[in-house]
Order: sequence, then structure tokens, then C-alpha cells
Amino acid sequence: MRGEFTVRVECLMPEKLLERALEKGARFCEVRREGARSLIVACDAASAEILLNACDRFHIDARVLSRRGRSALKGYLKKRATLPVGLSVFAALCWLFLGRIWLIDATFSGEAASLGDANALLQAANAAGIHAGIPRDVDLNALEQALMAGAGDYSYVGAHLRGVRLRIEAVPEVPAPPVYDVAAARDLVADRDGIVLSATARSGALCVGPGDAVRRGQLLIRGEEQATKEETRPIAALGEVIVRAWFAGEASMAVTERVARPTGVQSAAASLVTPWFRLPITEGESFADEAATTELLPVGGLFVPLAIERVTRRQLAFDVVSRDIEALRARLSPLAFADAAARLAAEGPGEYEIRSRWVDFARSGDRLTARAVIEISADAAVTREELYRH
Amino acid sequence: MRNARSASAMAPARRPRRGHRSPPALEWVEDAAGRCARATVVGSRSLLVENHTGILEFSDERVRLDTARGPMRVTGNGLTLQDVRPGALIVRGSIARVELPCPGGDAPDEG
Repeated sequence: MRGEFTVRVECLMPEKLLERALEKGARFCEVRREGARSLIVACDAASAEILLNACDRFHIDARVLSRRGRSALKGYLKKRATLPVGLSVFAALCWLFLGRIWLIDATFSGEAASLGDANALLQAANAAGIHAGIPRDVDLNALEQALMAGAGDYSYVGAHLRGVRLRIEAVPEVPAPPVYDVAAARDLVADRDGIVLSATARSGALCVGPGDAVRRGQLLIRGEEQATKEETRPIAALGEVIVRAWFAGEASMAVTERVARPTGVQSAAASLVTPWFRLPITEGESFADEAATTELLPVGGLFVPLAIERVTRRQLAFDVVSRDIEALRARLSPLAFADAAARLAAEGPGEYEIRSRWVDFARSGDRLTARAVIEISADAAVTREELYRH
Repeated sequence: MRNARSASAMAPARRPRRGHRSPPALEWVEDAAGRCARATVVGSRSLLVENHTGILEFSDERVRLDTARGPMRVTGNGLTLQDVRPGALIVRGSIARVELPCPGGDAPDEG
């Protein structure tokens, strides 16, 4: 016998009620007297029903205090009848959500990763029937083959499914170097002025050597080779001529500056000012070099637009003061290097190596000039077409 | 300590009933037939009563049960009824006295 129900019964003769319930087949786990007119009865569900029916029949006040065990669970589930439905709907939604692909990413790797076009790859995947919301049972091998065939030049395409995310990894093909056509006769010329550091001709005849000074457009490697003892034939020149080049920038500033100093002489002028006219009251003296301050003194208060404008002029004298040379050099040096770097960026080659950089200062008259030089080394051998294109 | 005894054994004499008097030798027949109330005391905390015919009164300090030979009374403190079923129950609590129906003496009636 389990005490699943705890019932409080209040009546004058609870013993009679117990007798009635026992006659009906009820069993009680425990009966406690709580007061003169009340009993606390612990019993199982069937006995509780019998007891409550008896109480109802005889109009006795009875109240279920607590429920435990299976009947309590049944009541709990009955009160929350929508819980299983909600859980089922939630599980169905989870199954629907997790059973499909919702995110599609395209990533690129490899030496030519920057050449990858994610939009083109995703469009190719879309053309292959891959879009957000499709079931997860995608044939990844077929997708990889379809993308390899139709998405562009890729050396590898891989598709990986992680949860609801489809990740497409692709390695773009490295573009092939330009084909060297030995029969396309050409010379290589210098694209800038400089001093030759090293010269290497892989095809053609070298015209300069280390230490030579070359000018822009000067022939560096002639595109010909000895066919016979008497004859030469034109070929495409190929090689490298590393030259040193310099890019200079300048910045200058005056080594002195004028500092204003009040002489102590000052004058004051006053005028009566209205919105419509101005009436001078006193005239003040003006100076060639002066600093003026103007004050507006309201006369009529807030509602009468009347004021006195007072102008005070102070005479100034300028002294020429020398600047701190070291501080001036510290200010000029980065400006000169910035100018040189700008020239290098505007005129310099695509690939170069900075070999050295320095700055010189020269004073001429009242000005200090900083001259910054950036020395680079770069391959100066270009075709004439490339030279004219620049 | 287990102290068990039967009501029939404890009673000094049978309660006279109209038209019914069993000889002592046949008491076991009455007991086997279930007409005789049986009280089993276990220590001073538990009292098993079988073959009673009804609950006459129940409070924290007193329980009166009807039997075939008259009412029996249990007094004590904090008395509760457990495993209550038709004809049998257990009285738990601090049991001070068990008064059984006595045919020759005063019946343990109310008060």
C-alpha cells in the first residue's frame, strides 16, 4: 500500500467516515488526528477516490493536500498535455533544420589563392543544384567533379559537409609563365638610369658589364646570336641586368623666424553700435604692425540693441630669432625621406630592394635644406615595348 | 524486545454474551474462525489489532475499537493509525495502556 495521496478530512465524526470508506474497500496507510474535527489520511489513489466520494456524498469537507507517485505524475502530465506535443514539434523542427544544408562557403588556398572567385564558384555550385535548404544527402564526389568541370581553372576542388554547413575548398591553378619564343627577336634596354651591379644574359649578347653607367633606354642585351662565323641571326634576348638607382627627395625650412613683441604703445577707439548704424565716439591710432582686440559692451540691456564697441590696438615689433638647428634637422629629415619615397613609388620599378638610405643637410642663406636619398637595386632590363608603355 | 500476546490469552475471563459461551477448550476454534479480536503489542510503539469490528474513537491520546466482546481502548501519546484495513490496523505512537474488554469488570468505555 502506497501513500500517494494525503487528504485532510474535517467533520464531526471522522471515525464514521473511515468506517464507511473501509466498508467500500478503502485502505489507509496512515491516519493522524490533526485536531478535534480533522483527520490527515494517507492512502493510495483508489482509496483516496473512495474516501473523497464518501466525503462528497455526506457533504464533508475534504481536501487533497499532496499527491505523490504515479498519480501525481499522471496529474502533472495531464496538466502539461501540450508538453509532449511541443517537444515533438521541437524535435521535428530540429530534425528538419539539422537535416538540411543552410550555409555554403567557398574558401581558397594555395599559391594563387587570391585568384579564386568565390561568387563564380558558388554560382557553379548553384548551377549544380546546391543551394541553401537542400537535404544533406548530397553526393559530394559528384559535386566536386561538377565544380572542377564548370567552375573555372582549379587544380583541386573539395566539398566537405560539417553539420548544416557545406564548405567548398578550391585551389586555383597557378597561371603558366609567358612562353619564351626564341624566334621573336627583341632587345632588352634599361628602364632607368643607374650603375650596373651584375649582368646575366641567358639569351642574346650582353652589352654592359658591372660598373657601367647606363641611361634610360640604353641597350643592355642585344637580341642576336652567332649563326655562323660571318652571320648573326635575331633572337629574343633574355636575362637580368641589376642596376643601382637613386631616388632623392628634398625639404627645406628657414633657419630664422620672426617673433612678434609688443612695444607697449597702444591706442583705443570706441563706437556706438546699433543694428542700423555705427557712430564713432573716439578715434584711435593705427599702427603698421599691430594686434587688435575688440570688445562689445551692451548699453541698453537685452531689449535695446545698443552697444559700445571698443577696439584696442597694440603696436608690435618683430625680432628675428634663430631656430634650433638640431630640431630643424629632426623635422626636415622625415619630410625629405617622404618626398624621396614618393618619387620612388611614382617612378620606381615594381620589384626592388632598398640597399641604403641617407640624408644630407645644406644651408644656403637663410634656409636649411635636407636632401634624402634612397638607393635601390632592381632589374632594369625590359623590352622596348615595356619601356614605351611606362 | 518483542512482547506478543493474544487478547484471548490476556483476558482473565470471557465476556458473557447472550446465547453464546464457548468452553475454554474450544477457544482456539473461535480464534481460528476470526471472531475473536487479537492484539499484538510490539514494544511500546506499535500495537497490531486484528478482528476488530470498527473504530469507535480516535485521537492523539486515545483509540477505542469495537470488538466482538466489547470495546478495547488504547491510550498514550501521539497515536496514529497505520495500515488501516477492514478488521485490522496498527496503532503507532507512545502506547501507555491497552485496556481489553473484560466480561466481569468495567468495560473500557468512553472516558
